[in-house]
Amino acid sequence: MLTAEQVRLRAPSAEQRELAASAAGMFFRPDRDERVDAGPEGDFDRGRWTELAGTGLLGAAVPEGAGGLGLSVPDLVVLTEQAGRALLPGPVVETSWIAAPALAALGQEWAPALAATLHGDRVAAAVDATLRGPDLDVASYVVVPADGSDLLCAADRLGATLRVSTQDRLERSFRIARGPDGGGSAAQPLPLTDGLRVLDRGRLGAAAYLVGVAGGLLEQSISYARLREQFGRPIGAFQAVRHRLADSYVELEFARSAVWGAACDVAEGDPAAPVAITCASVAARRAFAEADRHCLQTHGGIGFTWEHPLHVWLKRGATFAARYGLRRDLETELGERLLARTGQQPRGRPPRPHI
Amino acid sequence: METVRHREPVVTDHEEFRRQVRAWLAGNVPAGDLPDPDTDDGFGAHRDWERRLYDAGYSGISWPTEYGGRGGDVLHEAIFAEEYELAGAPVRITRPAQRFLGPTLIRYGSAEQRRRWLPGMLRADHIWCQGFSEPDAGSDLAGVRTRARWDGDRFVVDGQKTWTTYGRFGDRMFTLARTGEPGGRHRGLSCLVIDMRGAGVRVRPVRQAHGQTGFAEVFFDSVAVPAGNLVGPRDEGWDVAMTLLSFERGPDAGAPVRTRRRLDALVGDIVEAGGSPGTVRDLGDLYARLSAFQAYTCRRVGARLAGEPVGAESSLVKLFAARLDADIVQLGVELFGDERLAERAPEFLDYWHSRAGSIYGGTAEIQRNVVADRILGLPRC
Repeated sequence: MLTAEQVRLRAPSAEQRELAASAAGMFFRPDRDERVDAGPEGDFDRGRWTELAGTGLLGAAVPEGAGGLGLSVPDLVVLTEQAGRALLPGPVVETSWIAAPALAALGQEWAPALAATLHGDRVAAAVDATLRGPDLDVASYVVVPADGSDLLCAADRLGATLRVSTQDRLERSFRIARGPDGGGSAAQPLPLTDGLRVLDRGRLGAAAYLVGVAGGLLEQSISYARLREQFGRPIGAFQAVRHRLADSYVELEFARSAVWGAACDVAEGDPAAPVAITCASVAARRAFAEADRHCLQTHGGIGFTWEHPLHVWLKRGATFAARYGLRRDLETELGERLLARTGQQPRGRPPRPHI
Repeated sequence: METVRHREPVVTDHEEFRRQVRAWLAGNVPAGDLPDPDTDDGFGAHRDWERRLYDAGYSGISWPTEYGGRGGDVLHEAIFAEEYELAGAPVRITRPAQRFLGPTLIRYGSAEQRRRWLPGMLRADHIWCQGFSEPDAGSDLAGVRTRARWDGDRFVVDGQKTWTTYGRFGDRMFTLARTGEPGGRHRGLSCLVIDMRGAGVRVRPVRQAHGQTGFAEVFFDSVAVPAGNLVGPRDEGWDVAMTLLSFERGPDAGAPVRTRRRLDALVGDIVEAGGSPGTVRDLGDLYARLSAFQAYTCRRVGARLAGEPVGAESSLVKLFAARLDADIVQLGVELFGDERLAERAPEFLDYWHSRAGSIYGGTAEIQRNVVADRILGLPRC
């Protein structure tokens, strides 16, 4: 049901648009190619991470009193979408959505760890239910979802045992690996943040990032379709091409709204927010799947080359589409929920059409 | 001349308004369906229902009170649409008038025209039709050929319109006709209000694939139209028509509720049939898409409430929602077979109507071109 407050909240404010524009300015570095941030052996780029820490992104959702920006969940969605659009490397979602708020919630004892994380001196990451996560070999803290309470593990010891190799992952520039199960000695139980479990936070953050990736893919494809000429005109003038891009845009806009709406649900304290997050995650995966298919096709052969950056967007999208739940599992979860909900209601009929 | 009853404006408190609407609908929506609006009796029953809505102050929620509307805002309109669909209330035969014909007259009509036409529209005293499409001007609207010749003190109209919704019962048509040179494309078009009961107008109902005659062909043979029925400047009807389409494309908060009812009904059937393990994932996909549709609609209503102009978003809605609705209906067919499509089944009309969703109001191909042109900025084809 639409309420005045909801409707107002859900139209992104001028400030939020400004936030997106300024984030885009900070995250995009024309002098820098995010494709080469990891060397062939997959080293973590500490310099770049410190730079990103300097933007305030890592502590965006941490209260101002604890050294963060104190932004709302919808604001964080705005920032994270821009991070995806710029293909920011490293555990940006894990730190800003999960680990940094978790450290802040643990109070004074963990204040030094939080400060070091927000400055980029230490790395805080998280794993999803498959126990995979980015940059675990260099992480000092890893958040692990667990039955009962989610856990924060002080993981200084991991570096010695974990090797993150390019052989184990889809792309060079995103260093994902399998990590600890939280059974270590230094595990600290975590309270809910904004009423959400770690997996839900990661799901929403990753969906926002994925929407950004899909948006970046589409922007590049539109530019390419305007420039690339065949048969004496830009290929973007051919319906076969423009309709692909229009279809991608449709899915993108609805996914963007779904992610935004779920973030607003969280901000309003809606107890059904985790369901909205799961829906938004599916919508984001749909949007990426559509962009993935049509944008590579629009680029033709050039999109299949290593020199052209497109493949990095495609790979990052595939990486994020598999984080915090696979599409088929999320859909199954939603389908079961729908069946359970409907089982308690009287049978309805479809609406009569307007004819 | 119609007398206009000035109404009290709608209460500004939206939640209070929702409570009022919900209570009124609970007490007034007819139990069981009204007779089929495709029959004379059924149409009459729907007309009576429109009058009850009008008398209760629930017609033209966001129209100015001086024309019989309720003077509400976009959110009042959205709340009413949600509650109306939730209550499973009858089809609105004034839908074209409420959503776009009236608002276009409010924008472009003279003071005299607004007084003359608007209250009768809301009360369903006169049924209004939109007369844009022609046999040779469907997707290509600027190809309109219906001719309106100026004859000293009136226009004389010859030509043909098609796909005219409620044409069979229509009293007035908001017509796009060519007053300039033939072949002038967007130039030399004018909007005229034509009395469909007048001399020279012939209406031929068109039976559709589902058997209903929801629309008609309308033929004009030297139809005299008074000068006072010209809406907006002569020869500049294209701008008026585009404004009309932008109203037609405004957010419809009832649409996601309808989609939800469609999905809930299907899920109810599945539960009653003892479940269908192979479809759990399909249902989850539909649920996620419905949720995105709700979120998108909420965002659009918010944007309109904040005063943002209507852009090409309606093309996105048409593309997204037409496919979603068709997929829900199609899943039902896959699960329950052709029996579900028998003429007496409640799903029969829904099935065929959902298949029309990618055609009416601008085909999916045209909508994609609108997105490509107006949002993505791709080179024109």
